[in-house]
Amino acid sequence: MKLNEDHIAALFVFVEKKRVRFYDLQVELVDHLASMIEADMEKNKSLSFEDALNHAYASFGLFGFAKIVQEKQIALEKKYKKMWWSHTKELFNWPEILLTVLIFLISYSFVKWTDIVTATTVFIVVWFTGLIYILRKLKSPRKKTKLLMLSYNPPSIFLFTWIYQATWSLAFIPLNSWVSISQIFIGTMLLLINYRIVLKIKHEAETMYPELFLREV
Amino acid sequence: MYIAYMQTQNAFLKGSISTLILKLLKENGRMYGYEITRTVEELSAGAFKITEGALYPALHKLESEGFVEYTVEVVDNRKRKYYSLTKSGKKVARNKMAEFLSFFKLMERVLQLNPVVK
Repeated sequence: MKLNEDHIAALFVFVEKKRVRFYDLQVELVDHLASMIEADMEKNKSLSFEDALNHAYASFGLFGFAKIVQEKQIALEKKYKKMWWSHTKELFNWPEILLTVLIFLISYSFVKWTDIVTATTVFIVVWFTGLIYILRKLKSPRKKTKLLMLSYNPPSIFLFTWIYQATWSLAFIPLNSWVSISQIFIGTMLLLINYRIVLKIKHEAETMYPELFLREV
Repeated sequence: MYIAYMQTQNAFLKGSISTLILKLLKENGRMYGYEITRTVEELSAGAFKITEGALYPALHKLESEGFVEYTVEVVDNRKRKYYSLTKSGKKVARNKMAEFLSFFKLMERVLQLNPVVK
């Protein structure tokens, strides 16, 4: 016998009670539990939904869902690291290397046509605005429903700029135009790579779970 | 005695779960989690029981490595994740099976105390 919507809703409640807070993980676990329960109840017609559920949960082993949640987070981090590297590599291969060269030329021109102070100040403002814009794309679509796949941490993006600054200048503004140029270039590249990754992640989330992104009328 | 046998079997099984998953996905195109555990159980006549606590970490790891991808569909009042091999996953599936077979042959030799003569 197939489970109805109330049963499925009860499974979501069950999974949430067992500390699985992320919707994408919940969906997977609910389906698995539901399939097991349906199979068990088919074999044993007198089995109740609750008993079938407890039996199904028991087969997840000693740690229940905890291990699965932990491993999924680790696997996701690995996946995003891989994405980061492959996107970076793309930008140094044909044809995207043209874009990289263009960004460098713009950074160079910007510093040479203005001055170090102006260039760095403008860059920092634009850069932070860009970063905030990117991070906002990863916000949960609904307050109460979180997606694990949206938990992307742009690698070292803050660390980069401030360490870079600290090693080359005692003040806020770099003393050398080449430091400024390379800072603007690297900063822009970082922003571009992270923007592309975030767009991909967001697109995947919207494709797989469109029900979370529907605008509430 | 039988229980001890089952436990040893499960210990061997632990290291081969990703190979199993890759092979099954290669044969069946796309499968969902429960389908994988059920198929393994059926094919081994009940001897191999992959716990869900072992299956999903293996599946998610294969996904993070780019060997497996998924789609989501609505089935029977709920959403279901279907897993399938990527292009590199199909390549790895072939390699892993070959590796496993050569490991098995080597083990057999060693256990029979037939040293490999170079």
